[in-house]
Amino acid sequence: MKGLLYKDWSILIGQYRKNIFLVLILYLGMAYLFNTPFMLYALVFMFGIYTQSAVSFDESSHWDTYAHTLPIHPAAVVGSKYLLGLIAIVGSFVIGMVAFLFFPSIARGTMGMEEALVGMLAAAALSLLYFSLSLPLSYQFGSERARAVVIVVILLLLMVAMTTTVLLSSEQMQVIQRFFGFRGPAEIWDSNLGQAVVMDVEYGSLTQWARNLHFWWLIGGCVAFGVLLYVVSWKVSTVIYRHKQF
Amino acid sequence: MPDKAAAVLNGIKKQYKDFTLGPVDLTIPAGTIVGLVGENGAGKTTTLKILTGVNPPDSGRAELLGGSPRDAAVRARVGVVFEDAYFYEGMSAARIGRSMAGIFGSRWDAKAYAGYLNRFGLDANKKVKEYSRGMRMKLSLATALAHAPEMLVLDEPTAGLDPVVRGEILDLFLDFIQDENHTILMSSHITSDLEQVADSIAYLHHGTLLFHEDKDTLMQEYGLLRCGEADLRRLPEGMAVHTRQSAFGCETLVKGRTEVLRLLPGAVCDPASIDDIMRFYSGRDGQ
Repeated sequence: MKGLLYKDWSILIGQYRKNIFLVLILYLGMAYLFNTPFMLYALVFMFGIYTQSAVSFDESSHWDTYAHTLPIHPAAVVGSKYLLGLIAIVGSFVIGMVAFLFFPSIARGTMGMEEALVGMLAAAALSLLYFSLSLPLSYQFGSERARAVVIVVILLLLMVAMTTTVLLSSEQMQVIQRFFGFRGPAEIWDSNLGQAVVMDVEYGSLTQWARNLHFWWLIGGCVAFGVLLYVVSWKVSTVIYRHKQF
Repeated sequence: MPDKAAAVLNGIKKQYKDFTLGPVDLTIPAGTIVGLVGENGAGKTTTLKILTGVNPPDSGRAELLGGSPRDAAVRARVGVVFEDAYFYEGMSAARIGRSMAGIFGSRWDAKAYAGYLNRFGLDANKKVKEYSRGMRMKLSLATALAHAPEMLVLDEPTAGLDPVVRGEILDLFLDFIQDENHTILMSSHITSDLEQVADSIAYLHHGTLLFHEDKDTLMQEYGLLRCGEADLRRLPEGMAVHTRQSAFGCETLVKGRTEVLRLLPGAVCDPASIDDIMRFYSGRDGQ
C-alpha cells in the first residue's frame, strides 16, 4: 500500500504541483477578498477531484495490467485510491478550518466557527458521496465515461430528493423541518395572554438550527453515511477490479 | 531440456469475442530461455497475461514457480515486462524505485536497482517520457530485475530497438540465465534474437500452440527444400509442411531434413530459420 500511495502521490504532485498551488491561492484569495465561505467549502471538493485523476493516469499507462503482475492484492490497488481520496478530503478540511480562523466574517463576529464547521462537514460528506460513486464507475467503465455517468446519477438523486419533497404535504414537510431545527415550534406559550399562540417561523440561520440537537444528528448522520458509503464503495470497486479483464 | 518446470500451462483456454486461445499445453523448463513466437494476434500476450496472473483462463490450469500466478507471494519471485504497461511516464526512475521498494518490501534491492540504472546509463532523475524507447525498455528491465526474480516473463523486450541496444539486452538475459535456477520466457517478433539466446521455441499460431521444441533440434529438423514437383511427390505424406510456388521454382518447408536429404540426394535442403517456419506455417493456413 505504501508503494502504491507513493506512486499516486508523486504522479499527482509531479503533474499538478503548480496547479494545486494556484487553486489554493485562488480559492483562499477569493474567499478572503469577497468574504465568501463557499470557496473554502469548494476547496475540499476540488482537492478531492485531483485524486480522481490518479485513475486516469493509471489508465493512460495501462498500470493496472502491470500492477496485476506485482505482489499486491486488488484490494490494496483499489484501496490506495480510496485512502488517497480520504487524505485529500481530510487535508483540505484541515486547511479550510485553519483558513476560517482568519476569515473576515469570523473576525467581525458575523459568522461563527460552528457554521464554518457545518459547511466544511457538508462539503466533506458531498466529496465522499462523489468518490463513492465515481471510483467504482471508473473501474467499471473507465474514468472518462464514469464522469458523465456520475453527473447523471447525481441528477437522478436530486430528482428523487425533489420528488420526495413534492410528494410530501406541507404539514409533513414542516414536521420534518421542525424536527431538525429548520423551523421554530408551531406554537409557544404566551405568559401575558396565558395561552398558546401560533409561532410558525422558518429559521434562516445556522445559529438557530444549531440550537436543536437533531440538527447535529443530521450533520453527523450525513458524515457517517458518507463514510459508510465510502467503505461500501471500496468493497464494490475491489470486486469490479478483481473481475476486470486487462 | 532440464526436467524441472518453472511454469506450466495445462489445457489453457481463453475465449474473446473474436479470438480463442488454446487449449494450450506448454511447459517452461527451469534454467532455460524459451522464445514464444507467433504472428500478430496469435495469442502471445494473452498467454503471457494468463501465466503472470493478469487475467484468469476460462479453463485449464496455469502454474508459475510451483504455485498459482494469482498468488502474490509467487508473483514476488517473477519479473515481468509488458510492452506498453508500466508506470506513468511522468514519473522518474528514482520515484519508480521508491514506489517499487514500498511494493516489494524487503525483496527490493535498491542498490541493485541503482546498479542497473548505472549499467544502462539511465539518469534516475529524468522522467520516463524523456527517455528513448530503448532506455524505457532498459528501465523496465531494471525494475523487473531489482527484486532478484527467479523468472523473467517478457513481452517483446527487443521490439523497436536498434541492434546495439538489443545486443546489450540479450547480453543481460544471458547473464541472468547463468544461474541455473533462473528462467526466461520471452515473446518476440525478432526471431534472430531468439536464435541467439533461446534454448527452445514455442510457436503459437491462431491461438494454437503448433510446437515447442528445442531450438537446435528445430533448426536441424526443419529445412527449406528447393526442388521440382516430381521430386516433391516422392516425399512421404506429412513431410512437406507447405510449398510456395514462384517464378524460380518451388520452395517447400519440410520436417525431417535429414530424411529428406536421404530420399532426395540431389536436392538442395538448407536449414530453415524460425522466420521461414513461421512464414510457411502461416502460408499453409492462409490457403
